[in-house]
Amino acid sequence: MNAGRDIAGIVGSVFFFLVGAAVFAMSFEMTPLAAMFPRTVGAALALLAAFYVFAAMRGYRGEAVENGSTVGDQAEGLGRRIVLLATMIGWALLFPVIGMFVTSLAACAILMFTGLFERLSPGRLAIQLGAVLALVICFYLLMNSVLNIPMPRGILF
Amino acid sequence: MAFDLGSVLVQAFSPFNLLLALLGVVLGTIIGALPGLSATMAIAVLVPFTFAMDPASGLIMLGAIYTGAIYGGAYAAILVNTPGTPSAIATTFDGFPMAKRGDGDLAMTLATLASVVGGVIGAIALMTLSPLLANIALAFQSSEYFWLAILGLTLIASLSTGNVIKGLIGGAFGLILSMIGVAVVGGDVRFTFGSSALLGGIDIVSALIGLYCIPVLIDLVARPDRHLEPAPLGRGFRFFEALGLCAKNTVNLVRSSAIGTLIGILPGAGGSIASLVSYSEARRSSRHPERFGKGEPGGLLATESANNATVGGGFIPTLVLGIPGTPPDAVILGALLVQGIRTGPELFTQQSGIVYIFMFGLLIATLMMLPVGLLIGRYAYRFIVNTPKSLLVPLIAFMTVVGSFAIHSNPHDVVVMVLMGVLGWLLSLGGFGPSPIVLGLVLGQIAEQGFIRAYMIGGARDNFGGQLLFDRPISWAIVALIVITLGLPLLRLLRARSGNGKEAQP
Repeated sequence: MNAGRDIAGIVGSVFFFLVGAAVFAMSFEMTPLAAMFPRTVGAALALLAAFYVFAAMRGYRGEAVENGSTVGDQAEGLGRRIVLLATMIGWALLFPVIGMFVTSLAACAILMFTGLFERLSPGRLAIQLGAVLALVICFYLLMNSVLNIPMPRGILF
Repeated sequence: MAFDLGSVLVQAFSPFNLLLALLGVVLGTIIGALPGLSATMAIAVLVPFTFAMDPASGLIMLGAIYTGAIYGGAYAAILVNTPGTPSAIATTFDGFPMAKRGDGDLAMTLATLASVVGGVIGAIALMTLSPLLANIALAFQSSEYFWLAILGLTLIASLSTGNVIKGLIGGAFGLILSMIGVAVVGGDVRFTFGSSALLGGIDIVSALIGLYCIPVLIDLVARPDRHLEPAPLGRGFRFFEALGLCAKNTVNLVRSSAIGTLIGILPGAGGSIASLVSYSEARRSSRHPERFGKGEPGGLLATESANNATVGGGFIPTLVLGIPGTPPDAVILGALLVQGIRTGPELFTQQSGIVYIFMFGLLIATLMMLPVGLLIGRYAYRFIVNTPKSLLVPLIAFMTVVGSFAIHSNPHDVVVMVLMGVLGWLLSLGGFGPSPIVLGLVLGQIAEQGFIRAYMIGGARDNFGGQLLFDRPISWAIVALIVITLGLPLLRLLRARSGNGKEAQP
C-alpha cells in the first residue's frame, strides 16, 4: 500500500503545517487588527495541511493537472539542474556587487553550456557564444538606454 | 455637450492616429510578451512622449500599448508556460499543453482571435454601458471584495491542480506570503525577521516570474528532448481551423467576454479573477470537461477573451468614477489629467468628444491586434521551437533576471525571484502547483483589507456578521459560488466512488 501513498505530498504538507503553526503563534505578538488575518489564515493552513497528511496516510491522492514535475522525473539531469540553480543564485547575489553586464555574460555562458546536449564544432560553438554575447548586449542596451532602467555597474561593469 | 460622431470617427481613423495605434499594438505586444516587462512599464515609459502629441493621438497610443501588452502576455504563457501577468495564469493551463504537443501555431492564432473578440466586446461595453456598469463597481464594498478574493482562491484551487486540498493549501500559503512587510491595516511589521529588504513585502511579479520560470528552466536543462514539438511545415496560421473552433465556441467566447467585462470593472481584483471564472465556467459547461488542462482550445479561448475584455471593463471605473482598476489604468488616468481631462460622471457630457475618440482608438487597436498578433505570434512560436536549448536557457534566464530587476530597479527583487523559483520547484515535487500560491499573493491584500474593514464597520455598528455576510445579497451570491466551487469536486468524487462500487458489485 505504501507505493500508492503521496509521500512527497505528505512532506510538503508537513512543511505547510509548520508554516501555518508558526504564523498562528507569531500572530500573538501583533496588535489585534494586524493579527486577525494571519491568525485565521495560519490556522486554516495548518488545519488543511494536517487534513491532507491524514487523508494521504489513508491512501488519498489527487490527480495533478498542472504541468509540474514529479519526484521520479527529477532524477534525470540532476547535475545540470544543480548547476542551473547554483548559477541563478550566484547571479542574483553577485550582480549588484560585480556589475550586471559581466555577471550576466558569465552566467549566460555557463547556462549555455548547461543547456548543451550535443558536441559542437569549434565554429558552431563560437557562433553560439557570439549569440549569447549579442543577447546580453541587446538586453542590456534595451534596459539601460531605451527603457531608462539603470543597470548596476558594480566593481567591473 | 453631445459629441459629433462624424468628427470623432474622422479623428480616430486619421492616418496618423491609425499609425500610432499600430505602433502601440506592436510595442505593447512585444513588451507584454517578455516576462517581467509589464503593460504598466510600457505605458509609464511612453507617457512623456504622448505629452507632445495632441490629446486624442496620445491617448490612442496609450490605449493601444495597453491592449497589446495584455494580449502579449499570452505568448510567454503559451510558449514558455510562464504567465506575463496574473491575468494570464489560466492561459498556461491549456495553451502550453497545446504548444508542447505541436499545436503552438493553432494556440497562438486562437489566443489572437479570442483576444480580439474579448477586446472588442469590452470596448463596446465601455462605449455604450459605462455609467450603468460603473454602478456595479460602487455596489461592491469591503465584504464583497473579501469574498471575491476567497472565490478566486477556491476557483484556482479547484482548477489548477485537480486536488482541491493541495490547491487550498497553496492559496493559503500565498495569502501568508502577501502578509510579509508592513500590515495594510494597523501598520505592524510582520514576518520580515528583521530584514529591511522585506519591509515592502514580496513583489507579485518577481514571485510570479520565479514560481513559473525557474521550474521551466530546471526542466529545460534536464532533458535533451525539444522544449516544444515543432508544427509540420505548410500549415500556415491555421486561421480557418481556428475560426472554425471559435465558431463552435461562440457561446463560450461571448460568455467569457461578458464575464471579463463585468469582473474587470472591479478595481484591483478584476483581471486575474475574470479569466479564472470564465475558464471555470467554460469547463463546467463543456461536454468534455476532462479535456481541460490538457490542451483544450475552449479553455484557451475562455481565458484570453476574458482577460482582454477586462481592458475595456477596467476603463469604466477609471473614466466614470476616477478610480483606476489596475496599475496601467492609473498611469493612463494620470495622462488624462495631464491632458486636462477631468474624469468623473460629467466626463461623458462635458468632454465626450475626446473620450469617445479614445474609446474608438481602443477599438481600432483591438482590431489591429488580429494581423499584428497573427504575424508576431507565428514568428514567436517558430523562434521558440527552432532555438536550441543552449540558447533558449540563457535567453529565458536573462529575461527573468532583468525582468524582475526592472520592476523597482532593486536587486532584492531578483533574489526573491530566484528563491521563490527554488521554493516553487521543490513544492511542485509534492504536487503543489504555482498558480494558487501566486493568486494568494495577488489577492492577499484585497482579502485582508476587505475582511478588516468589514470587521471595523461591523464593529462600529455592533453587527460584524451582518456587515460581512448576512445583510449583503452580493456577498450571499459570492459565498454560494464558493460553496458550489468547493462542493462540485467532492460531489464528483462521491459519484465516481459510488459508480465504482456498483460496478464492483456482482
